[in-house]
Amino acid sequence: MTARIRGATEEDEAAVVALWRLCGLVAGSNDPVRDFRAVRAGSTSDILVAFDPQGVLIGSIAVGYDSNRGWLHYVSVDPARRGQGVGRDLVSAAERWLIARDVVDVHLTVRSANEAVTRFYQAIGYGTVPSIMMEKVLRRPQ
Amino acid sequence: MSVTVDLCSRDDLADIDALWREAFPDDKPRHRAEIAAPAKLAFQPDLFLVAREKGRVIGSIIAGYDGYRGHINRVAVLTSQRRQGVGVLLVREAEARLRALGCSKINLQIRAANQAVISFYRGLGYDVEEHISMAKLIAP
Repeated sequence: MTARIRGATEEDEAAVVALWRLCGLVAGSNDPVRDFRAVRAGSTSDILVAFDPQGVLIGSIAVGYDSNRGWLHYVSVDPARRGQGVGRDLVSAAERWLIARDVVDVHLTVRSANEAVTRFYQAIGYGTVPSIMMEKVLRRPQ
Repeated sequence: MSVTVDLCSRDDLADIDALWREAFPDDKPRHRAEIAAPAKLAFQPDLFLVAREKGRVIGSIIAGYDGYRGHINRVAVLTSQRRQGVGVLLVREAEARLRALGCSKINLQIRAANQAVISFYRGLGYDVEEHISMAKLIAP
């Protein structure tokens, strides 16, 4: 199946957030509505969405860059529509989005509990990087 | 010691080159100062900070914001000026600038060979996350 992929619009928000929840991507301090709006509003980021021929949302990806490094987040495909190349097409579309902005180095992180997904990325050219990730939640200014 | 944190300017590039050569001797060519520093001055230059003492650059930090997460790279302090809180000043200023952009979380990647810096970042409120990092070069 060939998915139709385009940039997300405001009207896609509810369906995209529901998909992220369905895929188990909303955890910890993440606020998916805030994330959807911030990524779309950013000048160096966007959300791409995939639809089936009937116009049903079946996948999404957040893409952005800081300096020469691109990042993929919220890579999600409806569990009922997996194994049909939708994820591969979304990553490929995000890579084209980055290449168009002269970004040559794409990074992403996978939760260790979700190790099986590393095989998907390896199959489409990603290698693991031996690094330690640290994280800090920033409190909003009072 | 009186240290100030300022924006990096073109006049600092020679100092930055010397600092990074000392701090990151194994840099890949695309990360070296002659390429990476002018690129950052052209993109989010307000997130490229230096620490100065008497005008001389003694430390650097490059923060980035990809629209979702903040990132911190190139945290370097001259060997001769370490253990005096310069790194803390740089990280705090970068955090304040990321927060002002609406960033809610900072991710930072530490090379596996560089475990010693984990305690530095723990002291600043960072926790190790059980994640696998993956990357791909997509240069056409």
